[in-house]
Amino acid sequence: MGKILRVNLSNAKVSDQELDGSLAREYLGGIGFCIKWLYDMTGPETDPLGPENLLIFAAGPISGTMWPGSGRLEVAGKSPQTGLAGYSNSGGHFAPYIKYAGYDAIIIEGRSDKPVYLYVEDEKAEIKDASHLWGLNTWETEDSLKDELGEDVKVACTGQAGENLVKMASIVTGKCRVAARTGLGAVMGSKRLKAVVLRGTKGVRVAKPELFIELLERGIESIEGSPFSEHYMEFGTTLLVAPMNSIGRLPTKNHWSGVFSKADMLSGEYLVEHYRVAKRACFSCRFHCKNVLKLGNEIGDHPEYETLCSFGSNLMIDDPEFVIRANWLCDKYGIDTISLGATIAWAMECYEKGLLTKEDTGIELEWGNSDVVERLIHMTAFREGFGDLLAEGVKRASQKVGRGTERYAMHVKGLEIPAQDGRAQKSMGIAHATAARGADHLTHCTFLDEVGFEEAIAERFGSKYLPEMANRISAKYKGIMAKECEDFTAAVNCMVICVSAGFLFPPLFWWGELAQIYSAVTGIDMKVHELKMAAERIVNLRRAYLIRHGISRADDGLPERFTKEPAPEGPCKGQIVEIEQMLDEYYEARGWDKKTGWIPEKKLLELGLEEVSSQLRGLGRLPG
Amino acid sequence: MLSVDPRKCCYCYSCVLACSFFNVEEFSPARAKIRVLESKEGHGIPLLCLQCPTHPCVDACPTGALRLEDGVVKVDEEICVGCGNCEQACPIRAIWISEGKAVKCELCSLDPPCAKYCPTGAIQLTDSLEKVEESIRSITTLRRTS
Repeated sequence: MGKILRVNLSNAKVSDQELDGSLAREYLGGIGFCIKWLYDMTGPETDPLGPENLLIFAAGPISGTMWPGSGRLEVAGKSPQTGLAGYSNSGGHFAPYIKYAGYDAIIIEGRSDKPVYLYVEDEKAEIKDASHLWGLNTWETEDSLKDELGEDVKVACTGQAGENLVKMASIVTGKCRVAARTGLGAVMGSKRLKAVVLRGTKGVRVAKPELFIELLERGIESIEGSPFSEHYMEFGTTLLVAPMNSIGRLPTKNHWSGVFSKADMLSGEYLVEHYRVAKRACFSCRFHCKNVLKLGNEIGDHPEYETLCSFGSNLMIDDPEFVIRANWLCDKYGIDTISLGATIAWAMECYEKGLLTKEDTGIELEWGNSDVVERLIHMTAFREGFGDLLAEGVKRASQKVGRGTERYAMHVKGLEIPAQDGRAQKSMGIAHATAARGADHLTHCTFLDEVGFEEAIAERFGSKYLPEMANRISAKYKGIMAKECEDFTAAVNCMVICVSAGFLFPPLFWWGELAQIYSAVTGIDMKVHELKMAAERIVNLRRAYLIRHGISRADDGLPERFTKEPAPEGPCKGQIVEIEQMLDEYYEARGWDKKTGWIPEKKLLELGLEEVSSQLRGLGRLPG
Repeated sequence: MLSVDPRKCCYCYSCVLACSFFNVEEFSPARAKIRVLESKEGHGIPLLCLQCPTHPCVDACPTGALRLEDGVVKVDEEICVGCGNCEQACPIRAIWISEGKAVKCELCSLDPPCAKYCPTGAIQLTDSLEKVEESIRSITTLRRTS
């Protein structure tokens, strides 16, 4: 059985905790453990930036093996951005080394008086002075730690944004792979924890090696045989720019439109042709979906699709070199590109409409001006001038300013909306509205209606759901799709495997394959219905955490831009998101109360969440 | 023999994982007989014995622990004293000392899983001496700059 490293930075104590077998069976690992610990050890009284908050780095049962895409890391804590469950997932090489260092997860609490970093090597942990690292950006921090400790260590760190408690600060591993969402870098900064450094020489054994290799061979065959793989291997998520623009789903001008006339300049094809110097993969991944780009003397990963939108189309910027630089700048400072891009887009629109003036901002804001955006990135990282407001994220910034600017703040539950538009792909509307971490596409991964995966829908749901479920502008059955994909995504994020390595995209593996892989590695005979039950338990516990914080149906909404302003142009012109209809269907599929969005006692008991049920009863938040 | 084209290496560690799994029955980069470094250009540099025809490691070994068997350099752990002369002699540092003994790739009975599971073809089985020499040249150059 595994082991958890517990670290208390307030009293500089580190200790090992045996992993409870029932926890492993009921919550699997990765995101499952994170949600369980957040629920048990934090709550409405927890200040996200106080010593009482947790910061969790979790691997999963498949981490460290050779399963393609199993190098993902899950990071969690109570989010300074949403005040709710914060969780973020990154690629790179960090998570497997949690296992090779002898652990399944690291739980950090408390707050250090002075800057420190955590050094973990083969079941030994040490809290070390980081005063020489404080003030460095994430790239400098990584270089400095490797100079000090050797090239073979793996580093997760935060930059100046985290130190300055920028609400959208990220945690960066290996310079370019980032756990960016929900502001967990600020939690790190609040604890004065500059970095977590791992060195591990242990190994991961699988319980049924022959079966594992058989499944692996079959998996590789599926991956290599998929018509979607080749393109994805070449371009990664940057391949999305062109097709998303063509279906009117490339957020442009603060999500006003989904069509950007200069999208070609931001396409993966353009980046590869002009700037690529190498291909790059996360740990144990055959997709090698990253392209390493070179600009001047600098080298780093390509901006993902999300950033090509948040610092490109959504700000009306068509300069690919600027987006590459902005991406690296955000990685260095440790800032979530989605959240900062959306907050700047809000400021630009408000400036255009006269709701913000030079008196507020100190500089003139205009769409497409990349010099201004670059200044705003620096100002946000150091909370200088107007950057101090941007650093609060779009919800708080717009509430502070008032004057009707709230209307242009594109967020749900305090988290900025990523690079999808529910008007062009209805399933993304329900995903953004109901994701527990706030506006998100990766909690549900409803990719099946993106380019119409009819075959996968027929296999996974049944052909009776066709053609509507595959039709991206039909709202019908999208609540059902969202429920099932959310459960499956939760299970994949427990393992922790990349959602884009054949599970949610391309849709090659489903519950059966995941249960088999889990069983082969752990030796626990996991049936599909048990795996589904565990995933549903995790999703419901995550919802219960939100309900404890006062979240109900009223919070599962979208900005009016999506529900009242019809798409102004492009192939989905005239479309709005039929959010109420999809919410009804989603809650029904979940077995949740349609009126309140709360979880009925019956559902909680069915999932073995008796204590949660009595707690919610005590709060008067059980329906009926 | 194996050839390596480091510019094709995407730093995914598949080779290292396959190596440790088939040699020591666990996934452990530290226990693999090959290594991957990170180049300054972002790609990886797989370091594994290319069975070069000059085999300076064998010549440098003072105890005779390194021996040629059918063209493959093998380590006799009973005899190896872990002096590290081989490590210094290898032009690409594909042999090193771990726990007092030399560790190197012994070509897995000519069916190396590293090549089999490499997703980009950066590691390949080859009969061409030219390819092997080109591999050594390119790794040596990259190691100097990285």
